Amino acid sequence: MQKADVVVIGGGAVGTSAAYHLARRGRKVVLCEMRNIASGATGRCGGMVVHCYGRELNIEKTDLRLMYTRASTRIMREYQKSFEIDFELRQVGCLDIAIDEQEFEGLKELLRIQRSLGDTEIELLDKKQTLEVMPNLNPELIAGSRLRRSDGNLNPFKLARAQALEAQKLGAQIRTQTRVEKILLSGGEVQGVEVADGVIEAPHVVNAANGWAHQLTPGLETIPVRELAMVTERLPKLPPQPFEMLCLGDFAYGATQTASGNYNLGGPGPARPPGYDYYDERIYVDEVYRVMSYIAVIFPKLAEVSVIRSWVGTMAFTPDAMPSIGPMPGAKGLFIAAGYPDGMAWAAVSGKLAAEHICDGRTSLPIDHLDPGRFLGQPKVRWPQPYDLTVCHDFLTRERALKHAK
Amino acid sequence: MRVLHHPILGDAPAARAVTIHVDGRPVQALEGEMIASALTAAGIKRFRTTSRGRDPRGIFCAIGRCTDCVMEVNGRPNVRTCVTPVEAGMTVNTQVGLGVWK
Repeated sequence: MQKADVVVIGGGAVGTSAAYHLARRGRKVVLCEMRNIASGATGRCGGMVVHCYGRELNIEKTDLRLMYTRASTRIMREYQKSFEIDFELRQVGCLDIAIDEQEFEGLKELLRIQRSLGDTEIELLDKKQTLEVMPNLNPELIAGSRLRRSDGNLNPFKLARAQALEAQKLGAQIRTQTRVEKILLSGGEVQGVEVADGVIEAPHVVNAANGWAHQLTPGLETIPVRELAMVTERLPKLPPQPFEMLCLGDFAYGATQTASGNYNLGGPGPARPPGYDYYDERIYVDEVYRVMSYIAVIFPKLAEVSVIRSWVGTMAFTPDAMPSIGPMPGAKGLFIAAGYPDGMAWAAVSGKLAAEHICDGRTSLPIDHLDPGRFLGQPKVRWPQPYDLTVCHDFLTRERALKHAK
Repeated sequence: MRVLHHPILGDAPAARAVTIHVDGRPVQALEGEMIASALTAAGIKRFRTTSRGRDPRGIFCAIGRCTDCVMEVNGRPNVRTCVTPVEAGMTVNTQVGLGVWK
């Protein structure tokens, strides 16, 4: 039987961050990953670092989100000074595009709120200014945009690998191909985890399994989301702003050029029929075609380039779009860090908060609002609510049809 | 050199002679033949340079798979010249690294 101070479940950006910060604090850490490092959402996302994802008009939530994500970026800047692997963090800015006047008014309101919180990093760009920053966007689809210059992108594989490597140097054990079958509890206290070849005893467990987290911790509300991504051939540098387009609400289609010149493209797939399998990692040609054709409407230049690889992955949301970070009620010793719609902006700080909570019993940033128990006893969220993808699909299909009609 | 009589494919179809512009110089080509054929016939072997070492590259697989022969064609980089037919007046430029995309 193996013994550890802490078992971390999940080898993505969040789990490896927790392993690194715990190892730094001298804890004996075993990280269990059911596949390989960065096999879940981390290795399948677009790698965008967006400090204030979405268009949340709730002042308190916006304020919190910025507090965590800014702290996360500061930690990553620290990483860059000492880490062996360069994870290609580039703060090139990110555009959040409004496609019509009504949406643009919403963006202005959001900007007003964010400025009132002392956020001076954001700029509101009108149509002309947006096209100056990113000349290749479809001018017919732009009313204006919000630019945050501190946003950008990174290489998610390298971030996870960098954190895992530094954790290993500090003595952490990284066990890949090790699925945790069960978190062992006795009398409301964590005893360790059960894996295929036995038990790992530990008084603390960090559940960072994101889309799989709720399977190990009943009562936890993480909603799996199946997202598509594609990578194009290497292209010359275009004006570097990645963009996310929140189309008619909450659906972000995004494109971002990586350090090597490839474009990462992605977004939600077609409308989901009932019984849809959010864990299906097979990719179907028709859905690639559809997402690519949507992106080509927004970014016409990309219609000409070759996609060299495409994949799908399981991301995870929570009902209020804020991750669950904190101790799980009723399970002493169990810390949750899961449910990230925008994980790259949160990963570094999440692991640090887990380590602080486990080692000190308190955290340097308040985490009450991220309490993993906050959805207990509330009705379960079911797709397609609150994200009705048919709305988005209809819109882009119409745009495409209009374009082809010309 | 052009393959005008192929033992299996037969004789090359008759084609109109056209001019394309390669790195600013006029080059005689046959309409519809692959750009790479026209360049080879004109004695041009260097199509691009690699992005790191700036080493020269040209035809390798010649069937559209390897992307070694890509050039900037009519302002677009990464065009596989071995599977892209010649059109009259085409602009073909050596691609340096990842090239330039206007």
